[in-house]
Amino acid sequence: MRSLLQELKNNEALKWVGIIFCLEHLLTVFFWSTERPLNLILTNPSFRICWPHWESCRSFSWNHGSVRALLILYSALALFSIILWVAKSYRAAILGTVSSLVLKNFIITQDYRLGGNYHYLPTLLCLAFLFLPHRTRSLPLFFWLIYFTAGILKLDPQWLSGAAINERFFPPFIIQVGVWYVLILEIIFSFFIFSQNRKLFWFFFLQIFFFHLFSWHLTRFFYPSVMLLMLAVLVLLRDIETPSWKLKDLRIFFHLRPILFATGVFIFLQLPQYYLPGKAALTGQGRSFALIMYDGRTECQPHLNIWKKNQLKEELPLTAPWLITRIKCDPIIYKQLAERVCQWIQKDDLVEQVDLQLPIKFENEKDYRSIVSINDVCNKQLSYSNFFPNYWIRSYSE
Amino acid sequence: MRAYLKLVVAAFLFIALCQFSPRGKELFPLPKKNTLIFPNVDDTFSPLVPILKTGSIPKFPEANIILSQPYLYAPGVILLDADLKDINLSVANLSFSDLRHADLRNTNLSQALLYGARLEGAIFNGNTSLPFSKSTALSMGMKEVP
Repeated sequence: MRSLLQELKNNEALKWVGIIFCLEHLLTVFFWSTERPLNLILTNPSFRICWPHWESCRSFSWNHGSVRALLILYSALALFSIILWVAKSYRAAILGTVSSLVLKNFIITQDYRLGGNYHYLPTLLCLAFLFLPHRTRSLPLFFWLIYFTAGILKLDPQWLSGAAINERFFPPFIIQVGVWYVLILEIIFSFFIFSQNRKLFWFFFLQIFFFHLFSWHLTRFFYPSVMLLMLAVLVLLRDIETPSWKLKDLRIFFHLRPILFATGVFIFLQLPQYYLPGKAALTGQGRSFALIMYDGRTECQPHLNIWKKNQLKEELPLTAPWLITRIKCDPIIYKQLAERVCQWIQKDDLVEQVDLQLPIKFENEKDYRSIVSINDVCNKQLSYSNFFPNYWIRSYSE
Repeated sequence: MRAYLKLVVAAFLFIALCQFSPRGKELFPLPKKNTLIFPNVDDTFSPLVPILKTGSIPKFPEANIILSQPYLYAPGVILLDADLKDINLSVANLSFSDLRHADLRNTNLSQALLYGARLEGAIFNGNTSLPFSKSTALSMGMKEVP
C-alpha cells in the first residue's frame, strides 16, 4: 500500500486506474443481476458446484434475500471506493478497492460455475495495481503477459482449424485467416505494448480493441466490455509514462522481486494444463486456476448407470444449469453430481450399484471417448487435484 | 486517453445503431435478464418433446401444461409446495428436483427418475406410485397421509 500511495503522490493520474478497477466491479454486479443471475445460481442447493479445493462450499447456504444483500454490499463498496478515489482519499480508496476485490472473489469461490476469464483477468490486473511496485511498468507487463499467454494457449489444432469458434457471420476462409492473425497479434504484435513508437503501440491497440469488440456476438456483452474497460488502463499508463524499454531498463525491472514472483506465479498456474496427461480441453485437468482460451468446443453425455437389486438398469443423464461452454463437460461437475446421487441412494434400498460415465468428444469429431468411467462410484473416494494427475480421469489418448 | 474515449464512444454509437437492424442485433446482442421461470418468452415448450430447462421454476397455473406430460424431462425443476396430485408423471425425469412439501397423493411416479430430488415433507398416500419402497419414502422425509 505504501508504494501505491507514494506513486499516487508522484502521479495523481494513477487514481483513474483505481476508478477503472472499481467500475469493473459495477459491471460485474450488472452481469450477475442479468445474464448470470447470482440469485439463481447460488440458491439452488441441488446444483451448487464447489471448487475442487473447497468441496464443502454447500455448508454456506444462500437464499434470495442474502444474495440480494451480498450484491448490494458489493456494489456499494465499489461505488464508495470510486467516490473515495475521486475525493483523493487514497488510503481509504485503496482499502475499498481491496475489499471489493476480496468480496468479488469470495462470491466466485461460492460456486465453480462463477469462474471465467472475464473475472480472472481483471482480478489479476487489479492485484498487480494494488501490490506491485512501479505500476506504470508492471501493469503493461501484465497486459503483455496476458495477451502473450492467450496467444500461446491458442497454439492448438482446434483453434488453428477455426473449429473452436462458433462463428456464423463470416465465411470460413475469413475465420481461417482470422484465427492465425489473432495468433500473430497476440504472440508477436503484443510486444508493441512496450514500444516507444506511438504508432506501433496504436497499431496493436486498435486491433486488439476491435478483436474484443468482434467477440461480442460470441461471448455476449460482459467479456468484451470488461476487456475494453481494462484496455483504458493501458492507455492511461502510457499517458503517464511512455515506455523506455532499453535492455538496461529491462534488467533493472526484472531485479524487482515482487514482479518476478507475480510473473512466476502466473506462469506456474498456466502450466498444469500442459504437463497433465490428455488434452485439457477434454479432460478439464489443470485448468481450475488458469486462463482458458477457445481451444475446443466439446460435447458430452454424462450419465449414471444405476443398477437395481432386481438386475434392472436405469440411466440417469446428468446435467446442471448455468454451465458455460468451457466447463460444460468438466469432470469436476459430474463427479459432484454423482456424489450427490450417492448420498441420496444411501436411503434407497432398491439400488445395488452406481457407475459414472462421461463420454466426450470435440464437436467436429464423430466418436465419443470415455474420459471418466467409474464402476461403483459410490464406494470410491475420488479426490481432485489441479496440479497432479487424477487417476479417475483418463487421458484422451487412452 | 482522449483517443481511447473517442474510440469507446464510437463503438457504443455503432452498437446502438446496430440495434436498428436484425443482423446488427445478432452481432451485438444487448444484455438480457436470464431467468429459469417457466413459462417465459424465451422458452418454447412442446408436448411432443416435453423438455424444461434444467433447474426451471414453473409458475402455476400457467405452467399446468407440464404436469400432464408423463415423459416430462425436467431435471432440477422447482416444484416446492406444488400440487401434483392425481397426475401421471410415470416416466418423468425429475432428478435433483425440489419436491419438498409437494402434494403427491394419487400421483403416478412409478418409473420416474427422482434421484437427488429433495422430498422432505412431500405427502403421498396408498394410491401414489413411487419408484422406490415406502420405507425409502419415509426415510427421505416424505409423509404418508390417508
